[in-house]
Amino acid sequence: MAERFGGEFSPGMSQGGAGRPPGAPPPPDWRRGPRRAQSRVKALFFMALPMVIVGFTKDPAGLAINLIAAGLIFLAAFLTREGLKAEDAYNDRRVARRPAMPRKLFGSAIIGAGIGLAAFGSIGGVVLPILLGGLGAGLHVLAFGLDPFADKGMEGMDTFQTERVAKAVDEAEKHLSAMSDAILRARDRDLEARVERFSATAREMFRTVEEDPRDLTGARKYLGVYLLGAKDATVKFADLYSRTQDAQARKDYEDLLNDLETSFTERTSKMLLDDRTDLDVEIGVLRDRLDREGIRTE
Amino acid sequence: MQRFFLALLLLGAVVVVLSLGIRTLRARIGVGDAVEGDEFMERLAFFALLALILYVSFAGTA
Repeated sequence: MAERFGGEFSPGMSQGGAGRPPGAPPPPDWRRGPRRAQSRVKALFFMALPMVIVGFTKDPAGLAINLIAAGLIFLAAFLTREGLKAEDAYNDRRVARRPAMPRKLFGSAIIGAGIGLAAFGSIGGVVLPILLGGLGAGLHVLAFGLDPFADKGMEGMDTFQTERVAKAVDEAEKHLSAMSDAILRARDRDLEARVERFSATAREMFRTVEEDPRDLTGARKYLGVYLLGAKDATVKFADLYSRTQDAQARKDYEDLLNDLETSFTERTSKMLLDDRTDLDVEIGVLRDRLDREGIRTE
Repeated sequence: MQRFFLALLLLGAVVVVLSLGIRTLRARIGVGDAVEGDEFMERLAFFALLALILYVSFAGTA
C-alpha cells in the first residue's frame, strides 16, 4: 500500500506535536481506509486499451464489438472508482447512510458484460462468453468487494435530525476541500500540511456532531460561518502569497488557523462534556428512582 | 500471439509475487505492514481479472 511521505522530522510534522495548539487532540490518521484499491482501478482503466488496439485488426463488426466491450470496461472502472470513493466516505464517518446506488456492484455487472461481449467477438458461441463474463464479474467482486448495504450507527436516531447533520457536514466538507485546493496555489508544503491538520481537527468536530445530532445547534456556526470565513481567508491569502511571498501575511494566516483550531477543539471538548453531563443526569435520575422503589440494594 | 499472452501472464505473476514478497520482507524487518489474508485474495482476484480481460482481448488473433 502506498503511503504518503511524512514522519516526525518531516516538514510540518514538528517534534512533540509543537505545531498544534496546547490541549489539541492529535489529528486522526489520514492514511487509513480502503484507499489501497484506488491504484488497481487505475490499472483497470488501462485494461480497456488492448481491446481497442486489437479491435482495429478485425473486420468492422469485430471492431464495433471490441469498442463497445472496451467502453463497458471503461464504464465499469469509472463506477468502481466512484464506488470506492463512496465507501471511503462511508468508512470515514461514524454515522452514515448506505450509498444510494451500489456502484461497485453495477461495475461488476458491467465488466462481466464487457468481458462476455469481447469473448463473443473473439471466441464466438454463447455459453463460453456467458461463463467468462460471469467469471469476470465474480473476480471483480472478489477484487473490490461489495458496496456497504446497511446504514451505520443510525439505530435509535431521529432521521430528520440525522439528515440535517448530514447536510451540514457535507457543506462543511466542501469548505475544507476548497481550502485544501486553494492553499495549493501558495506552493508551500508546510502550509498545505498545516491546512491538512486544521481539516483533521474540524473533522473531529464533524464526527462528534454526527454521533449526537443535538450538538448541531451549537456547532452550526463552526460548520458554516467559521469554515466559510476560513475558506475565503485561505483563497485571499493564497492569491496574495503566491504573488508576493509576504512573510507577515503568512504569519497572520497561520495565527488565524491556530485560533480557529483552538476554537474548534474547545467546542468539540465542550460537546463531549455536555454528553457526559446528560449521561450523569440520566444515571442519577434512574438511581434515585430505584432507591425510592426499594429495588436498589446498595 | 498466444506466446505473447503467456509471456505477459508470466510477467504479471512475477510482479505480483515479487510485490507480495517485498511487502512481507519489509514487514519482517519492521518497516511496513504485513499482507493480510483478505488483501492477498483481493490482489490475486484482481490479477486474475486482468489476465481474463487480456485473454478475451487477444483470443482469436493470429
